[in-house]
This record gives sequence, structure tokens and C-alpha cells, in this order.
Amino acid sequence: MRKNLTPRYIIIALVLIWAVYALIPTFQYQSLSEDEMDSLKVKGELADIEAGALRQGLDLKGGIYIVLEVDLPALLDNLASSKDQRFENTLTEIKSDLADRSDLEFFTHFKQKADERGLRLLRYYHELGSNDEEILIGLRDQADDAVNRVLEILRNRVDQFGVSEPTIQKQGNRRIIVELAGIQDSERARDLLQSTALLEFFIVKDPAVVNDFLLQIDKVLQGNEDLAEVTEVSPDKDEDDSERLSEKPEEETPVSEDKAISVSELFGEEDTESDGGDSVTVDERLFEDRPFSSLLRNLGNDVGVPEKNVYAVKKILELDEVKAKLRNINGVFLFGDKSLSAQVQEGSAETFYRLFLLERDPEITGGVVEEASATIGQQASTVSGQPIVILDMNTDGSRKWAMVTGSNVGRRVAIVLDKKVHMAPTIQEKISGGGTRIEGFANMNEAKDIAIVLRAGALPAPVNIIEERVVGPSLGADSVRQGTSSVLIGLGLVLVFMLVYYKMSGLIANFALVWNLALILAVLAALKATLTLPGIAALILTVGMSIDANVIIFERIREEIRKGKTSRAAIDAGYSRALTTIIDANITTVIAALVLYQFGTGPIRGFATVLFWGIAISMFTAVFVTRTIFNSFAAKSGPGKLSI
Amino acid sequence: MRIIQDTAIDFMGKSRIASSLSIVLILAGIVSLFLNGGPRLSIDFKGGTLVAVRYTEDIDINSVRDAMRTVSIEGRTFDFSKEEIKHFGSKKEVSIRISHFEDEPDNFSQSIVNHLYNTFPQVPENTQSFILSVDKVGPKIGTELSGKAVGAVLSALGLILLYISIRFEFIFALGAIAALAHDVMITIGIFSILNYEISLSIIAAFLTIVGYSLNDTIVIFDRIRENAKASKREAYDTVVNRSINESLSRTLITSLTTFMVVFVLWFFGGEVIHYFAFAMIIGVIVGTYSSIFVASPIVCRLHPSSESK
Repeated sequence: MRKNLTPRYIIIALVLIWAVYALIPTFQYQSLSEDEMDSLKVKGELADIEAGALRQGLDLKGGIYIVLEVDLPALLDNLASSKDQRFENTLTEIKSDLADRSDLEFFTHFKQKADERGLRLLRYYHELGSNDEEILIGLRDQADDAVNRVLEILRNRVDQFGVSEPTIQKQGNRRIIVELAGIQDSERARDLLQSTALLEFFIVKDPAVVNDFLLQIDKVLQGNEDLAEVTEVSPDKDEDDSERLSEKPEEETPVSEDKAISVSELFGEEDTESDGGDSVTVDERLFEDRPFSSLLRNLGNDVGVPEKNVYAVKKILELDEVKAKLRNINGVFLFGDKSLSAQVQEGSAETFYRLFLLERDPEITGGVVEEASATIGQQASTVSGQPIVILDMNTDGSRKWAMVTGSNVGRRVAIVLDKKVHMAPTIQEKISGGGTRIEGFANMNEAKDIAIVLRAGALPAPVNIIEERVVGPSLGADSVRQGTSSVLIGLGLVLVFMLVYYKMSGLIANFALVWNLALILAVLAALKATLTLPGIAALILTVGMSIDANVIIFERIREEIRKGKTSRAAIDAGYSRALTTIIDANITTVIAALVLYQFGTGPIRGFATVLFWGIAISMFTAVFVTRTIFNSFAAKSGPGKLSI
Repeated sequence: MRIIQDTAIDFMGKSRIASSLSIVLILAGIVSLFLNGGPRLSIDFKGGTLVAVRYTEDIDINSVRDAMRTVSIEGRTFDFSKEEIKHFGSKKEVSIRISHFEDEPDNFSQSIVNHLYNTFPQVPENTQSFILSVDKVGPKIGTELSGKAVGAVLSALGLILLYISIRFEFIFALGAIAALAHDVMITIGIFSILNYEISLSIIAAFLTIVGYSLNDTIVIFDRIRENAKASKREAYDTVVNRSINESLSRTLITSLTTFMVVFVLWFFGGEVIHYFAFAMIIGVIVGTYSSIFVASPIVCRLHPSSESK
């Protein structure tokens, strides 16, 4: 029985042609130099080649992988109306419950806690429904909606940021995975993603009010037994704590040079006292008198907090008594977004953050922004040559803005982005028309990024980064180099071994192996799968698998020949016997690969994908391609001359 | 060319010695795991931060440790000198692993990178070529992953058991699973003895070992099945012995080629896949051994015909 082998050869040839065709863009892309890439980019042809080329994972190309989780407690907080202390405490509690437990479903837990604490959902969420069931459904809908909106907004931001082939996808219900290949500046990318882009305009409280309030906090702390605890808890290490306290007097000295300003009165006393120079006693007394103010410094019109004290100040501001007092005066404390360094004594500079006391409710929020663009300040103006962002507001916003500025001339307005005060200029005159200029950026990139996030809109809820992996470009390059060379060396060793051990048949197996690798890469490129470092490892493993299939067949054929069969019969018997073995053996590995794919995140999936295709293709090659070649050899060379 | 001529080794007769060897290896691993308080898990499972950076010149680990004694981030001072600090690949490269702690500041990893960059003068011009990698895994993700990993291994084993029971007999499935458990336990044990870390990619390596070891086992099982059908009168252990001998050549050649490849990967593959390849090397050796000395003897013992003898 002689089969006509031509159709088989045609199939093999077609597959080969397809594989080569599918790999052309990859070769083109790999062989491009950087200059060529730039010139193609200008022509707009690079994207086409890139789209067809085998994608390299972040671990090879360098880049950032970030998993963001929408902050549901914060979302619930945003949605709630007429919140009280009890509600906020419960949310804080839920937040810490959820921080390290993944088995809790958020809303079930929320309902349970609310019941335990006797919170009536209806009180806070009456817009969402008339009973608990309805409200919970409403909240769930809001949460789903929020996640989708976050996804959309992040897409928008990343697109405007200009990354090639970003991946932004939802994982589960609450998470979003962002992969930015080839990104160099991880800090910038992180800010871009995590920024809520919540823009608010607050009126700054008058200095006299601020002064008075700081004294109130001092009083609260003086009579507060928790104070010791606060300052002890505040820094992470006890050592640091004591150090902080004892250092204080020296830093106090220069504070009140600018006495004309009202805030400085607060510090005046300290000034004279610490001038005496005796450190420890003064410090202790000072600390007793003015526990809170002693942590602060006077910076012209503003209150400054030295970087070392930021944590302690935050802790104090979170005290229930302080919060209650803040509520009484209808105020809110916010920090500035940038540190500034100021000379405190001859030569020694200290880093400060500004602290602002603002009216509790924002006058305007970012929803009114219609357009935001970054540009360079015009020559004749005060911001000549500096990066600035120009905001345009919609009609509603412009009207409000004109009202706010009109009725507060001479006061300061704080422009707050993500709960941090970006700048707080004094209102000179009524602004009508809605155009607003934001200045004070460190560089053009920062201005651009802020314009992007303002344009793309605010996130409905804050997002937290729960997993972050950054691969620097040099590590990626190392991995590519080492991965490629180990594949080539391993491959070379195996090829030589097979040729020596099985001679002519080894050559056929080698052909099958190389063809296998090419086909796997072609399939990966066609599927737009990503080749990662574990993927390369899987490729190497596939080499072993592919060789194994051939070894099983060859050993079987040898056995049959030893039993005295002709080449032809030996090949037929060898293949048919070996086939069941190969299938059984490979299917179990396929099972492992599928399970891996199912369970895996990024890198593991890359491994599983390659392993799966590797096994599938190597089975095809072993039973179809090599057999065809074997048969035609056997047909030509006659019985007994099989080189195996 | 043939390395293995027709052999007639009495593998079943040697299974007693082999099983004592296996038991010793497994016990050593268990003792080590017990002493170390369980396997050493990477931040993938525990949560934490891993920062790896590259200086332009060799750097002394102790000076890095000193530098990590006082790190101030957002007004708090931390002492990270007790955390794991070591060279990563070459002497120019340093990796620092910090376990997760309560109340971590935002952008904490970036602050560590900046601190390392500013402390020593031997740094490249921009931070981008300074950073090798930064991994930060939240504790929640960590526990989720551990759960998933255990789930993956168990479901893979279950499915494989099912497949073998259908294609062969149930006792074959038992033999195969015993061999797998043997391989993975020995590999975990060796990782524990060497104090190597178990990361996500090592779990992938374990699953690959599972696949590989099975592959090997099934090739032998297949022969046993075939030979048992052909000669029903023969004693079962003779059949098993003959089957192992007949497939020995294939077993060794495949193991050898796979070994060559994973060895090269281990040697040249670079820091990132070094441990993955190491697990594979152990897996190839132990997997080959277990198909012959664990899986086959179990099938042989449990087979009804060997009891009636």
C-alpha cells in the first residue's frame, strides 16, 4: 500500500509559507535600528509593523504593570449624604477589615457592619431606595458603574499620555490592570493613573481664624491624655520620636522672623524663649504650652509643617476632638502638594509642607472644567516662560466662578487637586468668562500631565495601587540577551546530539524541531500573544517535548527493525505504537498548561500559552510532518537502509 | 549509535533500596521545612516590596545596609537594615526586600529607590537605568495568590488523576500521583534546605515538573499496558521490569536532552530565571527516577495479579 504523499507535502508547504509570512513583521521590527524606527514613526508606518510583530512582555521590554483597585469605602463615603462620626468610623473599620482579607465580599460585610453598629442605611442613602435591599442593589450598581467609568477615564488618560500598545483591562469586579510597555518614568506614570483628578476651589480661612484655631487645638491637646500616645504612636520607631522632640528648640529659633504676619504671633513667644538657647527645658515647657503649634513653623502668610513633623500633625488632625472642633468652625485642613525648602539657620535648610485651613465646602468642583491645556506663560506676563495650565469652564462654572471671585476679592482661593492644595493666590478682582490660569509647576511635563487628567475628568472614586511591577529597561535587555543565548545554546546542543545519535533520522527530527519553534512563534505573533521571560522558558521546555515525541518514535522504529521488519513496516508499526504514547503523555501536560493558564496572572499565563501551543504544534509536527518525510525516504531507499 | 543496549535490569527487585532513598530525601526536606517554619515564600505570596538597582561600580552590601538604617519618608524615619539586602546577580546590583507593614506610605518603593540613588555616588546619570525592577505586592493579593496556587495544583492533580483512570486503570493513576507528590515534595524540600525562595514562577516550575514527570511515567505505563495485554501468563513484576527496560533508552535520551536544555537555562539564563531553571533541573532528575522507582513499583504492588501469585 503506497500512499500518495503529494497532498501532505502541499499542506506542509502551506503551513510553512504561512509561518514565514506571519513572522516577517517580527523580523522587520527586530532588525530596525533606533534611527530607522524614528523615521518610520514619522511616516506612520511603525505602528503597522509593530502590530504584526510578536509582542514582547514587560519583563523583556521593560515597563510597568499596575493593578488598581477602586476604593469602595471612599466611594460609599462620597455617595453618602448627611454623614456623621459614627458612619465614618464604621467605614474606617471596614477598610481595615478588608485590607488583608480577600474572602470578604465588600457589600455583604458593609451591610453586616452597618447592622452591628446600628447604622440605618436609609438615613445616608435615601436617594437610592426606600429599604435596605434596594439601597444595597443601588450601591452595587453605583460601584459597577464607578469601575467602568474609572476604566474609561484611565484609558483616556493613557491614550493622551502617548504609550504604544497599552493594555488596560478589568480583572474581576473591582480591579483594573494597566500594562505600559517601554515606559521609562514609573513615578510619572503612577501619578497619572492614581490621580483622582478631583479639582476643587476652596476659600482659604482668614489668618486670624487660623491663629485662633491653632490655639484651640493646643488647648485640646494640653488637656488630652492621649497626647502622649499620639506622639508616641505617630512615628514608626520610638527612637525617632524622642529625637524629634529634642530637636525642636533649635528649629524653633528662626521661625518668627516675619512677625508682621498674623500667624507669626503664635510663634512669637517661642521665639523669645528659645533665643535663650537652653534647649531641653525650653523644649519641654514649650511642648507643654503649645503642643500642636510647636510642631509648626511660620512661612510668611502660611503655616508650614517641617517634613519630619508631617506624620505627627496628620495624626493630631485625625483626633476625634480636633475633628469635632473643625466641624464647629466649618473648616478643613489640607496640605500643599509640594514641599518647599527654606533657610532656617545659617546654612541649614529645612523642608516644609504648607498647611491650609479652608472653608469646609468647596465653592466649585472640577466638573465644570471644559478644556484644560498646558502652555508656556506669555512673555510680558508675570509667568513669562513658565509652564502653566489654562482652564476653561462651562457656562455654569463661569457663572459660579464670577460669583465666588466677585464676593471674595482680597481673600485667597485655594486650587485643590486630589485633596492637596496646588496654589492659593489672592483674588485680585472678579473673574468673569471662566478662564483660569494655574501656575507653579516644576516643569512642562507636570503641567501637561495635570492638563491631561483634568481633561479626562475626575475618577468617581479614588483608586489604590495593590500590585505594582516595574522592570527597568536594562534588566529587560539583559533578559532578552540571556534568554536568547540560552535558547540558542540549548538548541544547538540538542541538534548536535540528535544528529550524532540518530544520524539521518536525527536530521529529520532536527528539521522538525526548528520548524516547530518557527511555527510556535508564528502562532504567537498571529494570536497577538505576548512573549515573556517565562514564555521563553516554556519555549525551551517545548524543545524537550518535541524531541521526546521523536525519540519515542525512533526508539520504537529501531525496536521494530531489530525484530526483523523492513524499514517501511518498521516505520508504520513504530508510528502507530508510538502515537498512543505520545498522545497520552502530552495530554497530561496540556492539562497542566490549561490549569496554569486559568489560574495565572501575567507571567504565568505567558508560560502556559507557549507551553500549550508548543505541545499542540509539536504533536502535529511529530506525527504528520516527520512521518511524511520518513515515508518518502523509505520509499526511495528501499528496505533495510533506514538511517536511524 | 546506541547508548543503551538491550538491558535486563531487575528494577522491581531494587525498589526497596530506592524507596528508602526517597524516604530519606523527603524526610530531610520535611525536617528542613519544620526547622525553617515552612517554605520561604516570596513577596508574591506574602506581600511586600522588592527593589533591585544597579550601580555603576561594585558596591559593598554592608554599606548599603548602613544606608538603609535611616530612611526618612514623608516625615517618618524607618530602619530597614534588618530587611533582606543582598547582591542580585553581579556585585554591582543590589536587591532589597521589605516585608509589608501597617500604614505604609504612598509611593514607598519610589522613596526607597530615591534613597539608594542619592546615598551613593556610583550611580548612572538617570534613575531609569538605575532601576532594575520594583515589585510591590499588597498583602491581599498575596493571600489570594497563595489560595489560587494551591487551588491550581490540586485541580491539575485531580484532572490528571481522572484522565489516567479513564485511559489506564485507577491503580496507574495512584502510582502516577504518588510519583508526582514525591517529585514536588523533594523539590520543595531541596528549596528549603538551600533556603531558596518560592515565588510565582517557581510554582509554574512545579507544575511543569508535574507535567514532565507525568509524561515520563505515562510512557512507561503505556509499555506496561501493552506488554501486559500481549503476555497474560507472565508474572506482573516481570512484565513491569521488561517494560521499563524496553523504554529505558527513550527515558534516558529524553531526560538527557531536556536536562541539557534546562541546564543551559540555569547556567546562562540570567538572574530572573535562574531559580526556575534550578527547580526544573531537580524536576528532570527526580521525575525520571520516580517514574521507574516510585510509580512503577506501586502499580506492580497494587496490581491484582501480583497478589494472587
